[in-house]
Amino acid sequence: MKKILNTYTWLCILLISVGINAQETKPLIQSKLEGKVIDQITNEPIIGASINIKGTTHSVNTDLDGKFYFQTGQKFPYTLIVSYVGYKVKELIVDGSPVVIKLSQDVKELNEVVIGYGTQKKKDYTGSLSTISTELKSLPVLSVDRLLQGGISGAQVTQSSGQPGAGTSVRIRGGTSIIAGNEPLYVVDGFPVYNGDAATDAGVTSGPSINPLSSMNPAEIESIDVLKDASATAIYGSRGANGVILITTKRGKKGQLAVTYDAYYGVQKVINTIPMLNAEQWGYLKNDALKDSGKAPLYTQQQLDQLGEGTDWQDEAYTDAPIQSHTISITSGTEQTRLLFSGNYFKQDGVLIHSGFDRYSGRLNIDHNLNQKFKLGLNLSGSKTHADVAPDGVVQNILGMVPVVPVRDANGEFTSNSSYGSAVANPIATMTNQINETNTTRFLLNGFGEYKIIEGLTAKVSLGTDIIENKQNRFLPSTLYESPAGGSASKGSLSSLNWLNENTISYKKKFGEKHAFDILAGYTQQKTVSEIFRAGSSNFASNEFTFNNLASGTVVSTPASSASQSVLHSYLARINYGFDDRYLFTLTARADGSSRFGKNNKWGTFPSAAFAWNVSNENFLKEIKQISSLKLRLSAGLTGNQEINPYQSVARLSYYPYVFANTLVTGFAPSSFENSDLGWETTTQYNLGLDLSLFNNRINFTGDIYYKKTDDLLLEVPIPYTSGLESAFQNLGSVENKGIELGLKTLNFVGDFEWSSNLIFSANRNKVLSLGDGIDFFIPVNPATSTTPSGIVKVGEPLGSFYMYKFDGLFQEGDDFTNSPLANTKAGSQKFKDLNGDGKITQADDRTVVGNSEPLFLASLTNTFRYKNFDVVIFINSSYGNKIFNRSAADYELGTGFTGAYATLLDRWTPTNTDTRIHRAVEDPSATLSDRYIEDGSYIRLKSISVGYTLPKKVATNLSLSSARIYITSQNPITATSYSGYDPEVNRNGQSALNSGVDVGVYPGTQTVLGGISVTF
Amino acid sequence: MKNKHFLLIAISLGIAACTSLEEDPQSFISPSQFYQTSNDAVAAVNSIYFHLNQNDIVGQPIYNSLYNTGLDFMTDDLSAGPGSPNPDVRSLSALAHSSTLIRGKESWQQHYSGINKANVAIERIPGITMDEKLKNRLLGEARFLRALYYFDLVRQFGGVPLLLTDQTQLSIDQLQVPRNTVTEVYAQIITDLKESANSFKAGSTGEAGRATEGAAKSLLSKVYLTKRDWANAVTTAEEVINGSYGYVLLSDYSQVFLPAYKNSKEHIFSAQFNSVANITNAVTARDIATGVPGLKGSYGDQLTFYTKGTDKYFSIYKLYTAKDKRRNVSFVTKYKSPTNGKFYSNLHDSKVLGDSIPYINKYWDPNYASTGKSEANANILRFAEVLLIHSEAENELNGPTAKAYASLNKIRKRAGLDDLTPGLTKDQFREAVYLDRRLELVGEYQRFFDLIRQTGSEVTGVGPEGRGTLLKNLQAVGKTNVAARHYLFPIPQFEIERNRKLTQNPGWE
Repeated sequence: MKKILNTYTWLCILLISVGINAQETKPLIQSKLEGKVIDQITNEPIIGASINIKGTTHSVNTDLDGKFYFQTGQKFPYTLIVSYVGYKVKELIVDGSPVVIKLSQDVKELNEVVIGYGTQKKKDYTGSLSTISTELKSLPVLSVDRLLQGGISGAQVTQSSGQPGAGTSVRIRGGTSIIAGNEPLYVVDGFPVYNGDAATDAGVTSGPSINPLSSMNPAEIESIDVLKDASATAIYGSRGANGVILITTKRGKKGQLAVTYDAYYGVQKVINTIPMLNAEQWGYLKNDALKDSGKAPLYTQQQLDQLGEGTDWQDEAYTDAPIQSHTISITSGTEQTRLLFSGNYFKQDGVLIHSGFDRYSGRLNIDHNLNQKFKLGLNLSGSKTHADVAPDGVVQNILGMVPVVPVRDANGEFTSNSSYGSAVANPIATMTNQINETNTTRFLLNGFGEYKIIEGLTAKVSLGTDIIENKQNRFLPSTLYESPAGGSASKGSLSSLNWLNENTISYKKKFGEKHAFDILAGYTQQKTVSEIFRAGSSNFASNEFTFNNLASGTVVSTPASSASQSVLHSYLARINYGFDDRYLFTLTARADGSSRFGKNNKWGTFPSAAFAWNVSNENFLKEIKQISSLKLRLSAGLTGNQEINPYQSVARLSYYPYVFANTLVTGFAPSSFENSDLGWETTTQYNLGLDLSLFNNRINFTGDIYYKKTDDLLLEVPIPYTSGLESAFQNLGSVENKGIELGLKTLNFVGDFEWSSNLIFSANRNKVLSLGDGIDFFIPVNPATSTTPSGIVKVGEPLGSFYMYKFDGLFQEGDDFTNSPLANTKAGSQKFKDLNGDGKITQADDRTVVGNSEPLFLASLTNTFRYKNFDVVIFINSSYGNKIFNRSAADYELGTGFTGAYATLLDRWTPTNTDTRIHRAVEDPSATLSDRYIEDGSYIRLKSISVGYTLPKKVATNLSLSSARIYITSQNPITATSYSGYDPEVNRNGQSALNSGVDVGVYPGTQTVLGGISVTF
Repeated sequence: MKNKHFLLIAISLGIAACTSLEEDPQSFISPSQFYQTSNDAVAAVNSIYFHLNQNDIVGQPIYNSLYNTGLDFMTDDLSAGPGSPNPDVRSLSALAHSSTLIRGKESWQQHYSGINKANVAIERIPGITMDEKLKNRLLGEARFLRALYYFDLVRQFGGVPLLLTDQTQLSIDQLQVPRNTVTEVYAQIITDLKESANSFKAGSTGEAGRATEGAAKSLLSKVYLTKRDWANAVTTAEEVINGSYGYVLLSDYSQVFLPAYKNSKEHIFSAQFNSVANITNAVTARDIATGVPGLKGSYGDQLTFYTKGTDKYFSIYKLYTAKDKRRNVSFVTKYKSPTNGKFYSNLHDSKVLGDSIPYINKYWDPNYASTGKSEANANILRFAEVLLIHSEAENELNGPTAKAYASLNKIRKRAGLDDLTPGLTKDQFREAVYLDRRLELVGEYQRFFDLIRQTGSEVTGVGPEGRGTLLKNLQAVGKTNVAARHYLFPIPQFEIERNRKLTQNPGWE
């Protein structure tokens, strides 16, 4: 019923059509005006700026010196409208000739912000919102999410891998969910997309998933606004709990044809390597381990002396790798039609050989005014990305290869594997000969029609679609050790179609001098359909076919296919009311109906309210000139989370096959509990904020404190295994996040030498409050090392807690070894604390929370310097207090002599070296997890330092250019950290909230030096 | 102009009409659409077999790598080898495990997954209109499997919750259930097996690999043996031996384990593997040595080596007499590389020539080198074991009678051994059966159950009473921390956290 009412409302609104207003004319009086248009900061002349006398059609453009002259029928004083691409339009009253007009660059952040279903003046905004600064936005990065790192307060961004194109995990104000998704909602030009890594992963490629956002060229982006508090995000209701990132792409502007070419080229190298034992050192370790087992040594002293350095597998695997990007964009526009076209080619080779990522993308944004009332817009973008992915295990194998094994044998063929107790496949052979690729084609197309019914009342209908085609191929030739006999090949595809229809109506009106209203209401619906298909076979007669002739493999893998769809219906409304520019109120509500929930609980309503007080507009502060503005903000509201897979609420039967008489037979049995009441995760959030600008906006401070409590968690509640199942989706438990966010932006110097700083600080505290009745904790499986869980989700502890033994040094001669959980315990074995004091060390009783991956605070500092045409941007980012579980160290500090080994083993326990933390050489291949491997992940990193030079306008013009800039950037040149792994920015398990901060076999990060150019014709 | 507006409205109206919040799964079946036809009934029963050797959640499958690592590693026959880096498994092998043992959890979980599928079938099939003969046979198979899963559970964990209805139809609160007694669980197992045996009317035997009347009776005799109900064990075993099932010993012991001879007249019930169906035996690779070119082995399973006299590498391998054909079938000491044709073996100690490491060979599939997949079946019940049950129970009931000798000598004869020395005492005969049972069934996931089942004084390890077998035998191989609590596995801590009504087994609190 609601739906019908709604559409009829639309019908009525859209039927009203009003004609074009006629234009007035005025009598002719001659006057002359000459002047010059210059940049407010650089004082450079602006060439081609347009000067128009308000209320007339008369306009001229500035010449090569920025000068203009015209004669007009208007009489002084009159109003000029001066505009130029990239600058704020200026209106000024002139009272005589000549004039010098200073234009300031259009730095959007100070004025308009995108708020979801509209824009608003920042001074009128009541919620908590951060905007990426212009300096950081121009950093050369692969994808937009990376700009958030250190770019806004309250966002924690961790890359899951150094694999080019790999995904990130983004947490806005901490993780609210345990099982369901924790990524923020991205809204690209009004089109909401959830950036789950699975969105572009057909499930064939091994290794880290490729970031779905990597399909978008960051150079296309005009602005990034991040909505954080409930007042801001409630308009996205059921998807707002984890924050909303609004991305607005660049659009055409009125003006002449402008062609811009942006390009950069650079070289990356691996950020760090891990010191490993060389061949001779490893030989001694091997002999020691054998001796420990009572076996004869492998090497004689003479052989040891000849082992030398051996193979440095890291040196073989990592290489200098180029990165490049080319973007061409064309903008053009008239009063009626404005368009932007841009095309991009991006290619990043991996520092690990034969890995890499490339992208071709294009965008066409069109705005067209049919008449004064009716406006149309189109955003069409498409991209094709390709990645050669380093498969799981390769980085472990680089560390695990024994240094006495050569890369190639005497015949020049790759050695297959090392075999000194544990077989390790040759990673160089793997990377050289395998195929492990993922290809994604993505189109994001949307368009809107906007109709101004009467002044202030606007109706808008938009329609969009997001089409993803992902194809993955994997091939292991028979020559590889890890390949099954005869090689194996598989292919998979994922197709998804996501479409959206939004209908909104907004009314903006000021009643009298004091009452300003801005009202929005709307109805939207979104549907996602996706299907996956996979097939593979092995045992080929030849390696020639790779993955292109699956039929010729004699052993067929079970093919797989699946389909799913989900639907979201929503009603939304927002009222902004401002009284006298002093008291601002926002009321927002969204009602969402989601197909993913149980039939009794499909609809959820998410209201919020906010109040802001522009204190500086009060009379008692108006006199204080030092205070440019002062605003207090207060908000409260509910938002939701629906990021679970479809069909979790319905009873299902699944496929359980078996074999009779050597023939496959099908079986079916129940595989889920029905839960008709399954509903939303609901987050209640309170926010108190303060915005203060001093000394004519030279100092800008923003501070927020917040409290977020998420209830009715979408938990896969563990149920007794006696049911035949292990979990059932229930709404149970709660998690809280509370924190503080501070931002301080200062303009330290102005004039010829300009220096501005931007300091961002945030601290979040996460805590699991409840996991349902009587459940105190559960131990999630760590997908990186499924046999040895390392984490815990426990009431009273944050998500990302590590749960292990406490390391208590090493046993020494004469100690009592009886209560050790390890076989073969003697002097030099690891000792663990008996926490419950029962004389035994057991997994059940003696593990404890030994740290967590949540940082105590994040801070970043950006300094921007400008002197004449030079600019320097220095960006420092840091994380403090987070712990990393260095699983790789646990594996390669074992000292078994079975695999390659960390150089830390030089300090291993021996009868003569007893004062150490590194246990003796022992042939026990199993790592016992303890806080010995929990390391401090704090770091301070010089993320980026960039030096640029902008050609003086005049020189540029002589070269027939409108503008030109060149720059050199160094990324990640310096890091201060005590973390011993490759890189403290590490997160093996990507977006999962359950096992964050784990480092095992993660593709390391990179250092990059690049040079770039930006030219506009 | 207005027409265009109408068009826009029409488009959005059209779209609004075509989405619904109701879910209609396309890749799943919902229970309401199922359990209607005989095909549905067959599929419901097939799903129970799934858990014999496959797993749907994380973990190892039962008659596959789970029993290999989770049962055999605890014994005096096998231990965790270099290719078993999993600390959980290694702790089990060293008897240093606790109630958080993951293999224990997986065993509990997967047996109950099978049990619930059996409960569903037993509950739903009677209501389906279908051929009565097929219906009875399917119910017989379901009851056999439920009994098998409960038998495995009660031996590992003691009295477990006895659940006989589809648990997914209950509310979450109703899943909190207490333990039943061992007696109650055995009573249900016997009821199910008797009903199962009666469900297979003449001619209603399904495809090779399905449970049969003979399988139900064989398992029943094993249940009686375990309960030390010697009389019923003898009677039931004799029904199998003398019945019309046609069970015989294959003449060549090696054929018992080769895929080419699977489901023969000796194989009463086995977990079925097939490489085309991608249901493959993971134990094959675990048994093979590392470093043989072209042959993928992880050497995860290692014999339990211990010092005996001056021999530092004594093991079950050296318990076989020279004539015993079973040794070189059950074990292999050298592998032929499929790529270069050379033979590879490993010495215990490179300084001591001639003592090659033996590897378990019972799951060898000759096609493994070329396909990378093994379809060697895992024996759950084979006729040789029924003879051993008969011989053992008869000796306990009536002493070493001719019947007892006859059954055991059939086993010995095939192994190439002489008949057992006549005139042994009851105690001597018992020890002889125990030894032959161990040598016959090594690697077939029987040893742990035998160690906790067989009689033996807690002081000497032998005799008609007591449960000292486990303690004495494990102490002898250096697993000296073995204790009375090891008669049972701990109830998984993971399950106690999920079901507060459960109590822990003694010694594991």
